[in-house]
Amino acid sequence: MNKQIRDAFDAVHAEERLKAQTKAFLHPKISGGSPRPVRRSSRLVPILLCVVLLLTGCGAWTVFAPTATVSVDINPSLELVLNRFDRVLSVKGYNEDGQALADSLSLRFQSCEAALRLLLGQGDIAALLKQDEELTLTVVGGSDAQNTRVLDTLQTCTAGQPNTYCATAALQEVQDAHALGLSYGKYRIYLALKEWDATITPEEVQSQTMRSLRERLEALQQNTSQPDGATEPVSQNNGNGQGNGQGNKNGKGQGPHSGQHNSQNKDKS
Amino acid sequence: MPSEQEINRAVDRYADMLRRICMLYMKNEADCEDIFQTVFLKYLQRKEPFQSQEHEKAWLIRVAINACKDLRRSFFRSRTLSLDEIAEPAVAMPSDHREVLEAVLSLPQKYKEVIYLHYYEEYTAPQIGKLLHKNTNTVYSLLARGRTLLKEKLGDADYE
Repeated sequence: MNKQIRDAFDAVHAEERLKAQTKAFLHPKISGGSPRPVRRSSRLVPILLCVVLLLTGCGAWTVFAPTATVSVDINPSLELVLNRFDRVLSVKGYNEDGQALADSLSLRFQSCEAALRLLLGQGDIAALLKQDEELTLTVVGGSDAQNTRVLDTLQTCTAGQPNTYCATAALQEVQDAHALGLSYGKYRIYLALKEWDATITPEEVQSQTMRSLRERLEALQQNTSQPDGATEPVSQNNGNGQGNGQGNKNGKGQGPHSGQHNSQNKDKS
Repeated sequence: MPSEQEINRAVDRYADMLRRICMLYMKNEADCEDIFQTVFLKYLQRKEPFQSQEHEKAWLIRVAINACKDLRRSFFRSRTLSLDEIAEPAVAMPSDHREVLEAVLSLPQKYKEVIYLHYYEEYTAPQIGKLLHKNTNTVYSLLARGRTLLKEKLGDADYE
């Protein structure tokens, strides 16, 4: 049986075609040097790529996400939108003067302090301040830490500057202000005026300087014994603000938001 | 990694042996091609050198048998029947010893593999046990039973 089985299997041979096919299959694997399984490090490449993309996305979001707004009101009214690093992401004018001022200065990606110093040193604003116009700076919408930090910056930048007011405010109030087409500083004085004179409109407030509005408010307070809106709340924001600030215009502009806003550096009484 | 020359030498030297093993397990040529490629790719990827030519041969036999069993067990194969199998139910057999070869291939799997390894490759029962991961006594039993079956198929007189 041994021999018969041996002879039977001896007659079986691999076809030349099969050998050639096998050699052809192996050839690129030998010359290409890639028959080994994919290395673990190669498998990590797409994962690392995803991590890099994720980190890049997070980084971009961190840098470009707006976190706070600084409202600047004198008569040009504009707002500086800041990221979490207190860099200016965008500038928006809330009246014609404000838009012209925003367009004339290159404030994007400047630090908040540098942008404010540029603004305060700008010809029109410097001239208005010299004419005893009133400048209101309000930081809105940031975290408590950012609000405090930016408020410090505002106070540092306006130190020694007469008629300047620095404060912080709640985000909801700013949204209400924007709904009326007003920057936050003007919105606050608009609310105060509306208590004494219900006929006042946001458009009127938009076109006047802060000082003229403040004087109008003072006149109304002196000439009228009781505000028009004394019997009913002026707005839903009455007393809801979280703002705080420093200033020396004590006793003026006392409205429903007087607790949120204190003036600073007012050198005339 | 072996050089191209070494690989070609191995293909030339062991192709016939692999073809016989494929014949024991597979029923069509396409599967043989798969087994050839799988076995020689593993050969190419092997990092440790062989201790001897016998070691190399035994390693190739074991890898080839495992590859055949894996292919037979594969999900796709277990649920399909290739067109080749329908068209050509068995691989081409040499006409000279067709009767003996058909008799061996018609044995159940467990018998034909030990018959082949013992009578053709001349491995002993303990060596076959090591190759197939079977107990030596089991291999002896399989050999005895396989031999009996084969005699029954071929006729006692001619194949004692």
